[in-house]
Amino acid sequence: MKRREFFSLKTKHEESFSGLSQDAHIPHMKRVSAGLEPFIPSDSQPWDYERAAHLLRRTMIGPTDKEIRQALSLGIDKTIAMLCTPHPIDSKEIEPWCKSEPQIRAIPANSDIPGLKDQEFQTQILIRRELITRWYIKTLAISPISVQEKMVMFWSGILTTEIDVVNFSEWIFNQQQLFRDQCLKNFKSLIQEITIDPAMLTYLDGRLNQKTSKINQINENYARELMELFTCGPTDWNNAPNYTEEDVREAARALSGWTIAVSTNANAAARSYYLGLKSNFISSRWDSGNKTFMGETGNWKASDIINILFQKKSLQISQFICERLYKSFVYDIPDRTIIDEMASIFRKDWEIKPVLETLLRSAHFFDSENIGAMYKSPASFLIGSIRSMNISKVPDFRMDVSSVTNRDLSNRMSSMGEILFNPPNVKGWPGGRSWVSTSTVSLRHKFMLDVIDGKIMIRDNGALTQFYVFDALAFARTFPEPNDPEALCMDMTQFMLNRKPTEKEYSTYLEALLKGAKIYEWNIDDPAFKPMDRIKNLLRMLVVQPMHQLH
Amino acid sequence: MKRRTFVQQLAATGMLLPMSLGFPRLRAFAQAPPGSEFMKLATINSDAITVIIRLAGGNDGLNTIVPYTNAEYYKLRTDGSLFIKDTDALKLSDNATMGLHPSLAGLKTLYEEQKVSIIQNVGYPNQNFSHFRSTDIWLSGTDADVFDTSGWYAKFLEEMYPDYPDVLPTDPFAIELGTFLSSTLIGKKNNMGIAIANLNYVPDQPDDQPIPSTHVGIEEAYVREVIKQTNIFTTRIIEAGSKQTKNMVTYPTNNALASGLAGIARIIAGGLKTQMYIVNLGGYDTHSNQLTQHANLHKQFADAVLAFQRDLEAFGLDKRVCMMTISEFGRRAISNGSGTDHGSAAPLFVIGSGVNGGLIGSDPNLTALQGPGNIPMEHDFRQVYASLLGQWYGASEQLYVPAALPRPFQQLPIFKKLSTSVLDDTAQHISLGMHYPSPANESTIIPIGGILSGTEGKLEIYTPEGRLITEYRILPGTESIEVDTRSLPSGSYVYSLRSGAHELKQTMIVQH
Repeated sequence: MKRREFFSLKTKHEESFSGLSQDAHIPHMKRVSAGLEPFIPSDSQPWDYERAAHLLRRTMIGPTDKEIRQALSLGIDKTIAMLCTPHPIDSKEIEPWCKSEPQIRAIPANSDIPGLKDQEFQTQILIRRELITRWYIKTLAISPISVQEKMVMFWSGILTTEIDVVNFSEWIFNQQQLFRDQCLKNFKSLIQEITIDPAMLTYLDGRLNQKTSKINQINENYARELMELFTCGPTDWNNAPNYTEEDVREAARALSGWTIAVSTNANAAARSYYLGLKSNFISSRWDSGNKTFMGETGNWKASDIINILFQKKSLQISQFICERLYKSFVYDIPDRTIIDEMASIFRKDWEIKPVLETLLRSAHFFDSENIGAMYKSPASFLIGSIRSMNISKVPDFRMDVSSVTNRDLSNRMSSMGEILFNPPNVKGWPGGRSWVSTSTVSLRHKFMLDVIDGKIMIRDNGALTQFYVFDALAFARTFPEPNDPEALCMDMTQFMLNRKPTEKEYSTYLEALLKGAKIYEWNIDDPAFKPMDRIKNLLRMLVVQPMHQLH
Repeated sequence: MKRRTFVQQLAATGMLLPMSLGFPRLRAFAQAPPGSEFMKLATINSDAITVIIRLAGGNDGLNTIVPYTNAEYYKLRTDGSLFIKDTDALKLSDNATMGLHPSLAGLKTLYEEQKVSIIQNVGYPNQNFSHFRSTDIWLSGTDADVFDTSGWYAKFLEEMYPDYPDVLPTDPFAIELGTFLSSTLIGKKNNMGIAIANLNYVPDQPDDQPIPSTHVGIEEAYVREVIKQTNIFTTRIIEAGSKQTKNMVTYPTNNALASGLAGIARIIAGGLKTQMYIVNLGGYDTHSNQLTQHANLHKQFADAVLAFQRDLEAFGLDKRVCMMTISEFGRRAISNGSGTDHGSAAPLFVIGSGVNGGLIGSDPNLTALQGPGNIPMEHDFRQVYASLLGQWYGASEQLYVPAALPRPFQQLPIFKKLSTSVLDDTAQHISLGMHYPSPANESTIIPIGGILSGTEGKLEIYTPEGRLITEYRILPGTESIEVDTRSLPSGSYVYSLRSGAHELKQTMIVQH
């Protein structure tokens, strides 16, 4: 490619990244011609390790080499079927509180109502936030082959709430369970449900949105975001506005009346200190007058607004959400021809699974252009490494909150720009290139290098203890031919970098693995040969390659 | 990791792309030209440097600066005899009631030279006792009921440099020694500092690499470019460090804080323009075994601080650098038998040649303890930040309120009215800065300013006895001048800037 062409490509590419706005797209210079038709393996684009890894890496966090080979032998259809199967998660470590009504106010000092008083109450809120974060990290690290958790993250990044604002982890857990349950089901139902979810009602003021006979406190916050960020977006693909300010106001009126259900605590006096896990419609708080929303007039309620929205803006909603799916699974720069096709499937009945399956099955998804071109988020990078490389002794897996030692991985994720449950704002995380910057790249390198060398020492109960324990030798043995250094080198490279190395790169990597030994001298079973040192040598080189930041 | 291994790796990663590859130098990765739009917002004192030393875990203030004449103190700390005996406390010459922990001898030395300001009873309203939450509050500068994960200093930087990161500074804005970037340096939109675990790597020269025109090719190239930019910062840091490869004093050994400060001294002396450093000293969460642990930590702390201060003085940099301690809270006045639990207000230190020195505030009020024995707050930590921003960096309040701090806070008399170059002469307009690197070896740069159009200046270099060695004509708008010092014998010299009736002088140290 000519230098100047590249220059302008990069500039355009950068333009599309300004602010990584959700509606940025440019016709990029090289379009992938493969479409949504099913991928048919060929000599030039085989169903191979690279593609099996690609499929798993885009749909789950940190697949192991074994899992990739399992997918390879199962084939695309069976793997996708496995991926799209829901699985239950284990929340025992944060039960029963995560499934119980939150205490929302401190019990007064002299009262004998069950619950916490003042300082303890404040502390409990913080403790539970710590606990739910740790539990979530662990859940991600131990999740099986499934797209479920990726979809939960996907919906959390669109239908956003911030735990800083919602405050009570019980509602956050409740909301996340809603996503788990609905993530591959019906999008329109999901919108109906999230509209009246307690965490969302708190985050976007739905619970304050009311008009009674005495007061008029219609709050437009949710109505706006419902359209701007959660369904159709502000403008369509021709840049025409999708709705008016009047629509926002009228929708807000119709959405009024919802509150979080009162507590069902057996102790009547306690009920004013707790709130429920569901929501309630209170008709006296609902603006019952006629509203004209997108040209339709009636005394609409919340569900009516959603119905009208989906009916009138079906094209725009399907394009908007499919574009988000595309950018989450395929590449940061959207290809609107493909997205349009996805959208026409999606808006037939708003079922998520068929659209996702079609995308994952497609020639477009498996085109070599789209392999390895997305950035690992901090969660993918850190938790993914822990899972895929079997790194043990993770501080955050320990639920003891009194020890500062245990908040380590989440600190690292924060430094890298991702705080779980806390997107920077209602638009979610910008993602893409924003994950890799002059300060985050060295943090990413440093973590991997320190793990390989066993250097992460944290003070635990007074003594400096090693955490993030990694057995390089055991890791090497998980590959098919650990006693063939050439095969091992290629396999480890493919695993860590998800693309075949060039000849020059391969010889450099092999040199690093051999570390001066001859190929025939390689003996992974002989400690005197020091195989661990040599394996670590190669790994150190691989983890600082640019490709290690991508998948 | 050995340096050679690291270098090999860097070479192998191909992270080193040449300038010639045609990446848009313009926006993404342009180095800011001198005097560019970069400082357009306002001037702050660009010579001032702060080193924040975070005593992580919650430092027991009561045993740090000890009210050794207060009978109540001994009563409260009876359980486990968690007090400092009055015979052990290091008495301060200007104070009859407060003394320093015996391990803080290094600090006492500096205190007697007026180089330590101790601000008493620093905290914030509605004290939170969780490490994480209280740390977030101290590092974000917000009130206790506001959740904000971005840092006060980072927000200040974002306000000062709105074009970042489209336009990058030559040197990082802030450096944290460690593997995390603490939230002090995480802004609302970008990380404003870099975390460096080791100041000693030297990267290799870039390799040429063709860029395939595929999606993955483009993204891989982008990551390479980012790595390269990180390298550029690291290189700048290493360069500065290598100009100055030796400290001027011996630092204590087996003292990680001392090693970190020693590295910082070298890179400041080497000319790095970074104005904020953060180092962390952990272990202060002394719920148990406090007497031993606290003593060990404080010894590390004070010994490191003393060596660093002396090093700065020998380099001639001490007027530019101050240190400030922070800790997420103090500890309970009442001991628990082996240590103390999380508390509230505690003293903090601001150290350096630029401070007024002395105690600010009242002795801790041990008869008005709150709740289970928490010391009442007298100063809000935001007052200290405001003093740093306003007095040390010379920032006007609108630059940091509401960007960095939620509202104005009354400043405290911490800093002397001192600057590196401008005399207290309101008619004075010329400025002459400390040369860097210092000591100079092959060459050194002298910052100059204020030569107005229509005038001229003259920079002269003399021996201390007054013999003129060389002179330079300074034209209006000149911001610095690079002086070749290769042929100057090692030793100290004087350089002066004259323009019209004004003259300024500084010392230059040459060492080959």
